[in-house]
Amino acid sequence: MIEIEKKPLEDWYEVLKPYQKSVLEQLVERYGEEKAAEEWITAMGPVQTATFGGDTSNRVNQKMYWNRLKDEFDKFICGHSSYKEEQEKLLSSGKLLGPGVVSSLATWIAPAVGMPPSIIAPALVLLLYIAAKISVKAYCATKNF
Amino acid sequence: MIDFSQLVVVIGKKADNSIVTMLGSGFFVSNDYRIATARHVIGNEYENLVMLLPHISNINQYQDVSDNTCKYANAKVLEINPITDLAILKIEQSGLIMTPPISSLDNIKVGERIGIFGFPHCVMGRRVLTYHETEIGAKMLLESSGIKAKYATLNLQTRPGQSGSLVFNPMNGDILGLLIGTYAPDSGVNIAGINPYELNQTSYCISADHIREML
Repeated sequence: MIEIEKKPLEDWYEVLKPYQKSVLEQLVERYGEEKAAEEWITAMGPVQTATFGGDTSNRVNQKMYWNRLKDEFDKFICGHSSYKEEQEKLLSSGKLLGPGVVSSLATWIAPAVGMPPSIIAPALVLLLYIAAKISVKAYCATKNF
Repeated sequence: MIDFSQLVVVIGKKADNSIVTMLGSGFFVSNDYRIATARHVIGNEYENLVMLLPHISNINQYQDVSDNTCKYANAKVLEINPITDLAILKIEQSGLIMTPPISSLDNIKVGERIGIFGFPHCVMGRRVLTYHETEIGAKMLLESSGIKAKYATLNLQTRPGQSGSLVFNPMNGDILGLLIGTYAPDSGVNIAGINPYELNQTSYCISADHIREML
């Protein structure tokens, strides 16, 4: 089973760009880690603002993307067969997963989530931190696939 | 007037049959071909994004609206800030491109003139690079998920396709911001896809500081 390093959140933030870190710090302070990750994924800019172009995604659709991200993250961390190849690659190194895995993990699950890796990565930082905090075994005990 | 016709571009999405749907406006912000646009212009898309190469050599050229051909470059999503509704894309090109300095709404006063380059109505298939000039009506802090960012009200009505437009200082060409949208609470009424509250005579622009921090 995959194991994740128990590190302070500040250490996990080191893989983020300064603007991402700044936003996540404010979101975590306001909402806590998991809700902060959800806010990051579902945010669509300033409120009461009509946008002039592009995709017509709304907050309801963004919530669907958040649910997909959570599902794919759980599958990856908890050993689901759909990520067997990637899990074996990580386990063969014999190391605990640390912040360095965020970029690869974002790239691996992005196609199933349907969002760019660059927006997924900051949310993964928070989800990995949460899973590490309670241990992967305890985190996965409640998951059913 | 400063001619930004080679720096302001259309962002589009390419289908399997190579037909390109225009999504909105964007502009180059670095000499290695990074482009700023509004995040809502690209939505969650990241595999089929393209940037349409400029279709005119200068802004005074007549733009043929019957010409529906285009040349494009594949665009990669580098950065997204969903809180400020900004995205940074990049195209692969050799050489370097000259881009104006990235300034801030801090450096312009309410009442001063600003210029805008963008593609109004491009989402409806009409590609006309258009210049507007107006003044800053107000400076504001707008909130998303409890986080505030710097914006300005521009005394001008804009329409779909203009999101991602370049807002600049006509005195020196510095980038001041990026057009985002307009104030429009939900009216509960939709006429031909338009919420009547969108039809106020102002638009919102986010300060270029928020672009700079993503580069």
